Amino acid sequence: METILAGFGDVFTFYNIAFVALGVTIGITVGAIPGLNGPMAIAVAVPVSFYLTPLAGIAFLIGINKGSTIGGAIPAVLLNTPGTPEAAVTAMDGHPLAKQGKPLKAMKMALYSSVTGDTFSDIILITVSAPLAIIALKLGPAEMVAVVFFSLTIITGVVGGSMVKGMIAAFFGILLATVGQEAESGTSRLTFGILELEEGIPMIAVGMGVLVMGEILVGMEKARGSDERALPIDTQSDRADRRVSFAEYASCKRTLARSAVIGTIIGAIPGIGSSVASLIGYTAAKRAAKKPEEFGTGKLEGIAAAEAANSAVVGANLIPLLTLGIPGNVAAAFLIGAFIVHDVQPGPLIFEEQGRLIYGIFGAMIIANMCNLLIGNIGLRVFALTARIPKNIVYPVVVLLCMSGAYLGGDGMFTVMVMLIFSVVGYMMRKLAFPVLAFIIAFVLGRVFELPLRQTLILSDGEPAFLLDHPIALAFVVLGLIVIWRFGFAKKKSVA
Amino acid sequence: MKRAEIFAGLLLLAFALVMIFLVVPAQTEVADETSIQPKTYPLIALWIIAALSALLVVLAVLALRAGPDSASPIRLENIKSLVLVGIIIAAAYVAIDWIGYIVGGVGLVAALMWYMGVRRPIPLIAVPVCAPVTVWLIFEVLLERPLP
Repeated sequence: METILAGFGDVFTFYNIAFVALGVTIGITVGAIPGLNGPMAIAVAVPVSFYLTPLAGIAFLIGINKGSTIGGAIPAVLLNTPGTPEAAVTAMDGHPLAKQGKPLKAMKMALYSSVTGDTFSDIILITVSAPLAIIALKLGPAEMVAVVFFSLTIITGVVGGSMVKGMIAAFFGILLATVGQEAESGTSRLTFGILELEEGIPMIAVGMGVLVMGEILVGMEKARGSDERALPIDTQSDRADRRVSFAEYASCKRTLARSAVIGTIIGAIPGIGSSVASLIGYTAAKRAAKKPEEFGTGKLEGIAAAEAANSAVVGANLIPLLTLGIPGNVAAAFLIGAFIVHDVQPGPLIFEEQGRLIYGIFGAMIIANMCNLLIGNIGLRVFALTARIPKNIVYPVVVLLCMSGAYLGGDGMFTVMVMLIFSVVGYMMRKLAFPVLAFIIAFVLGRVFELPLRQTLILSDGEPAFLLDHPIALAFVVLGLIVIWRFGFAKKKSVA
Repeated sequence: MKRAEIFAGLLLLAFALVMIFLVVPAQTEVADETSIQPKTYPLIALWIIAALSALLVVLAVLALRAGPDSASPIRLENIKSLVLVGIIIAAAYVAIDWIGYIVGGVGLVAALMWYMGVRRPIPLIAVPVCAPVTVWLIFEVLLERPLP
């Protein structure tokens, strides 16, 4: 209890709160720019966090993540172009409401719903992660291998259109994770004599290259010569059209609660992500509505359903990260990088070894939600202006930021070069519809996976019957096989 | 798309086989006192990549036989565009490394903006100057982290 209180107390300094607020502001701004998203901003900002204290650095990144979720709703409402993939469903009702002359109302409903879902999810995270970590401590190497295997099947099965491509991307990520010194013997593996590769391919280079630069290269092709702009905000409209009353918010309480629960459950499962959560939340709200035909015409409930669900994923995504060391999504994968730089190893031991820091981070998450509400409410008009910045100005600046970030966060120009190589990999993966999410998460999981896999192979002596003595591991392996069969089979049918 | 998948699958299969038979044995040291050799883990990943790539090719061929193919996701203009952007970025990389961050950064942003169709002089001058100078001020001056 002392640790919990001390941790929560740590965050209440001007320094920490300022970095949370800065992170939220950057997150909303980046999320509001179509074509950019939270994980991209986190990837670029990770090097900045290296120069801060562990709590301020990680809180800063979490602020960006939370801010970007809300920021993504701004272009969804104003442009009908979601700033982030998860905001696509928000556009279904948000944009029609904006076209009715109520863009501020739509954006404010998105903001309040997002903060509601996010806060609910954070409370669940704070409540369940420590007990879950205690359970996770009892897992042996076989169980860890089975959990990682199950996570990979979910990531490869649910994300993207083809399970085969998803698995190729995942195993490519695992392969790249083997580069560098081997953990047990310390011998070099696939380094080609390059000294900088002894510690492995830098995560920052892979993440920025595949995730950010790959997307920018594809975006540059599409945006070349275009100059699309967002709807202007009408400041002369009726006050009721520019705000969300408490009665309007309260009328959506069931929808908000339902979506928050859906988002939290989905967020706790690695790999599924915010886009699926917002779609399920929206569909569930539509099914439960008395007049479902009104959805898609600018209904506040539609915005609430989508935003509460996609934001509830953000907090819950940290549950697998903190309890098992498995990143739930790309943002969590980058957070692992930040944790490691600050000598913190995510996983079940984190509460024992770094309890105070973790509760400090939990405190920062709650503060980030407050900042989201406050900064979002005050600055929506300003953030809406960023949605009007043309992509042909944004993309070149992001390229410069990536090169600067890779230089500062890695081994100088070597990391920049590796990042540029991986940007071509990211471009090709997008063009050929290989899921980048599966690749990046598998790259992070690759090193987590190797040691328990090695231990399991030694303990089992290669006998599959070994699993019969480990019912939890067996259950996860069976679940993983069901996912492979379900998604692999469904895809085969669609091909035929 | 299916033709592109066949091409990608064959390329990946070739990559995996070259890695398995040539690169991994040459580039992975043998450990004396370990029960599982360091090359085992990458080899498992590579054999699975090889098998899945072959499966991708087979599925794409079957799909191609079943119906017409959709448009290729990578066309000549995509390659030209990628090469052009690659040249700009590579030139900026060299300029940043040899001349310095601000000069290279200004050139990079200006060239990419021009490539993307920006012709208005004010943004074409203001953005390329402001962006690297702001980054430089934040890291070099405020955080005291040296840039090239």
